[in-house]
Amino acid sequence: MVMANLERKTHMSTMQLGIVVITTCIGAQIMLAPRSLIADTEQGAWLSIIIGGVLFYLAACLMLKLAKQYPDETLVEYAPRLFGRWGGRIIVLWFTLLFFLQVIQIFSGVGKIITFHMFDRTPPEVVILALLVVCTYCALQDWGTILRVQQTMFFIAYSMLGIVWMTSALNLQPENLLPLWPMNIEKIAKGGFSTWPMYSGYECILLLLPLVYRGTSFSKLAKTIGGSFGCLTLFFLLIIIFIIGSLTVGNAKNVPYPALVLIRSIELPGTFIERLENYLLLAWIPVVFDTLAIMMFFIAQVCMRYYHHFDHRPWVLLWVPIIYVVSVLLLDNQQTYDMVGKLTLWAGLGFSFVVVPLLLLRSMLRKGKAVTRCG
Amino acid sequence: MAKSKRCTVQKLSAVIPRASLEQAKEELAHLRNLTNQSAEFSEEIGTMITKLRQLSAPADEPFIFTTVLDENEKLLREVFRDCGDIEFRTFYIAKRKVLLIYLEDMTNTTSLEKNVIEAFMSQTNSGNGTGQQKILTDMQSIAQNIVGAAAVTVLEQASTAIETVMTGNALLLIDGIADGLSIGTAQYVKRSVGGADNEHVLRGPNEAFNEALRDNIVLLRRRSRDTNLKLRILRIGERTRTSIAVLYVADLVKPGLVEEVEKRLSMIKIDKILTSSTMEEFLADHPWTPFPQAQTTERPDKMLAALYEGRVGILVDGTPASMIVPCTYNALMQITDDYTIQPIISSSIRLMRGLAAFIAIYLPAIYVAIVSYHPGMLPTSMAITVAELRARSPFPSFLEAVMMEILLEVFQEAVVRLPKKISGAASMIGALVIGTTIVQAGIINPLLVVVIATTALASYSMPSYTFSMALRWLRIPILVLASILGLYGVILGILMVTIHLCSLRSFGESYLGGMFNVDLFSDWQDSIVRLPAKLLKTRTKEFGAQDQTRIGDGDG
Repeated sequence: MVMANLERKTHMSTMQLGIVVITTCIGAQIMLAPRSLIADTEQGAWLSIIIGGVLFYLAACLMLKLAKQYPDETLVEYAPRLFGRWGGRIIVLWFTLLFFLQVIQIFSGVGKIITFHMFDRTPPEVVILALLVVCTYCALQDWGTILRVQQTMFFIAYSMLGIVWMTSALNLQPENLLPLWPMNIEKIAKGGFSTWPMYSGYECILLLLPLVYRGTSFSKLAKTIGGSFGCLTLFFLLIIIFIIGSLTVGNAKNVPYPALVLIRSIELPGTFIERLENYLLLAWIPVVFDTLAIMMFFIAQVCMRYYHHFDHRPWVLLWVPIIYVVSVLLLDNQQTYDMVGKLTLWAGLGFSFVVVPLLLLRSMLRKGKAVTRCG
Repeated sequence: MAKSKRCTVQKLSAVIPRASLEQAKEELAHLRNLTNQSAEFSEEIGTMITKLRQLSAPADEPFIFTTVLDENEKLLREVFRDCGDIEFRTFYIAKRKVLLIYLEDMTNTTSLEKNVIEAFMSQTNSGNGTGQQKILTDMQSIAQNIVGAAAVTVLEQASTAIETVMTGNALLLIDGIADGLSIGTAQYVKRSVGGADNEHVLRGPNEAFNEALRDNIVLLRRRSRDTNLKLRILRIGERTRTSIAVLYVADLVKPGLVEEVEKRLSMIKIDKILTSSTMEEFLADHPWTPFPQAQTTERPDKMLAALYEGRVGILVDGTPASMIVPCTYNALMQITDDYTIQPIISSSIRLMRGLAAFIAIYLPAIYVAIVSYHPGMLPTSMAITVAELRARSPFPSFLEAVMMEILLEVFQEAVVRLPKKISGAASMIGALVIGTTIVQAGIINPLLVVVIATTALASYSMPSYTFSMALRWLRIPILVLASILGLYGVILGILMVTIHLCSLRSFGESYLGGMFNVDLFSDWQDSIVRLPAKLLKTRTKEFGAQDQTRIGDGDG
């Protein structure tokens, strides 16, 4: 029997884990990432999205497998045991940096977009600061609260975002999607990897799995996470298909935020709704907020666990000025911003496809040895 | 010689110096001093005796009863000193002194005369001296053989005896017995059971709680013959010793909840409890939030429905406003009429109520944000109209909105505080001043009046007044955010309120209850919407009821 919701504030169901993965992954990148992806893969962007979805789902499964080996611990606890003190430190730092780099890029990107489209006379620093305050307030809460915020956003913000985005179907011209099956396979495959910023966030599994009810089997977890990746892939496909179908590849790769340009061009005659890009941004802000808030919470959690503290809140407050300063520094320097983007991409891919498999291998070897010795 | 024989009259004091007037005065003063001192000694000895009695009594007891009635009476008279309405009635039975103490205006003296005094007198007249002596050995046998009242309790502690007198019962003490007997004769002025003043329903019972705790319990018991409906009485308030009834259904309530409620209640250290809201503040998990953390109701049917969801009810003597915990957003947004109209209509109304709550907080802020920062979001014709209307007003939109909010709050306070006969006139003045004159004077633009009026109506549609107050309170900070950051500020405000609501707990349960919780999807059947009664087979999980089955409880 499921008892009242927040009695077990430190636990969650598989379904809730699936929702957290979705809300963590879908964030600012739905506005920021399409341009570069379309520029690289052109009409094949939709294939890259699918390839990316499959690739990162496999990476997530590896993470599930690893986390299931240590059901009561997070990466922070078992990484030093598997790779020694310094190896463990590097992995934990890598893991923290992964979230940190994404957070600063998102803050910086949001600052630019909001300033550009909503407040042309307001400095982006103010926009970032305001959002940072709200994200900090959320990250300071306990896991039960954050989980509820994530679920609330999932039901409200994502449905709003979906409804607003679906209006862009009005401008869709299917012939712009042709050729549907382009021949440049290499670029498309590379594009699959470069979709990591869109799917990034699934790494939270390594932190959250100990919170999922212990009796949950691997197959159930894999199915739920598979469902989450299915939703993510579908969502990103809708974005890419509508952008290419409405703007054409040529136009989409030449505008900084093609999703906003597309939605701005939508007209709904006979209604009182004008300037749909503002509505899209209003629906997008909560989506960005939940990604940022949960990532800030993860950073603080990693630090708290690493230093064996009982409270994550001082760590949130410690990271806030660092996040703000670095995000603001990224605002005026596009080259540095791009460089940080590339660094994050490589760090993310390296973590998913090098660090996690190595950790899993090491853990299996150690367990195998232990069994042999015992036997 | 003759000279020596002459008799001379002299003052006595001249012969006996000790008989002088001065000496007598001195002696008298000395005597007075001695008298005073002895009186002081006597008082001190009395105080010491009392202290010694207190010393031998437990820490929370004023003194202990002895078998000497005179001593008990003296101590009780000290406790009830200057209480003009306390009556001490003495009479004798079998040559033993009997003392009856009661509160004059809160005791049914007819019942007292009939069931106690007459009963004792008839025992005396029966002439069976040995039998009387046998009965008069302890209070238990007196209660069983003499006193005719229905409610009698043997009391051993002085504090309980004092409390029994103060609640309107009579206290009987007999010389030679160190116990007291409480005789249930309380009778006091009270309001009869009337209709609900603050929670009207269109179809459904209309009885409401009154100020008497016993009546309120009767209203609940009359509606349910369930022996699992349990009740515990506590007394809170160092001075008022107000009776608090904690109600629950034993086989439904979440394990530990009643104990937690009682624990929190017992931790209340306050001199007086006059309203249930005072207790709510002590019970609340978050004392600084504007949102109510206990559901308040004056309707017995609502209380009973809540108890059968596994919640705990708290009735406070002296107030019709009872409390139900845990409190969730869903519980606050539901009314009895939701269950008396068609489910599909009730579901639509519930959704509308949620929308009204949103409007009640955010509409003025959205207006200020759009007018000040994003007029482009409006259709061109409407944007031009708004600009024309605003051109007449000298104030920025934020200031206009704040002025209107202040006027609205003042108006609402005036209508609530005024007597009913004058409040009609106040409404008229308000309507004229706010609705017409301000617009005609060009101080506020008419569109804002529409916005504020809609906001006010939306907040009035909330089933809970305290929740509606919370929404009203939130408007100003959101307005400030809108005036600084436009719609971006409004969205951030919405996020802040959402985080705050998600962080609130009421006795361990989330304030949002089953809303937006994928693990509690089944609760949506009677929260956001309402399914037909025959489909509501399970109780809401959000309150953690032990038995989730609502229909077919007895099926096994």
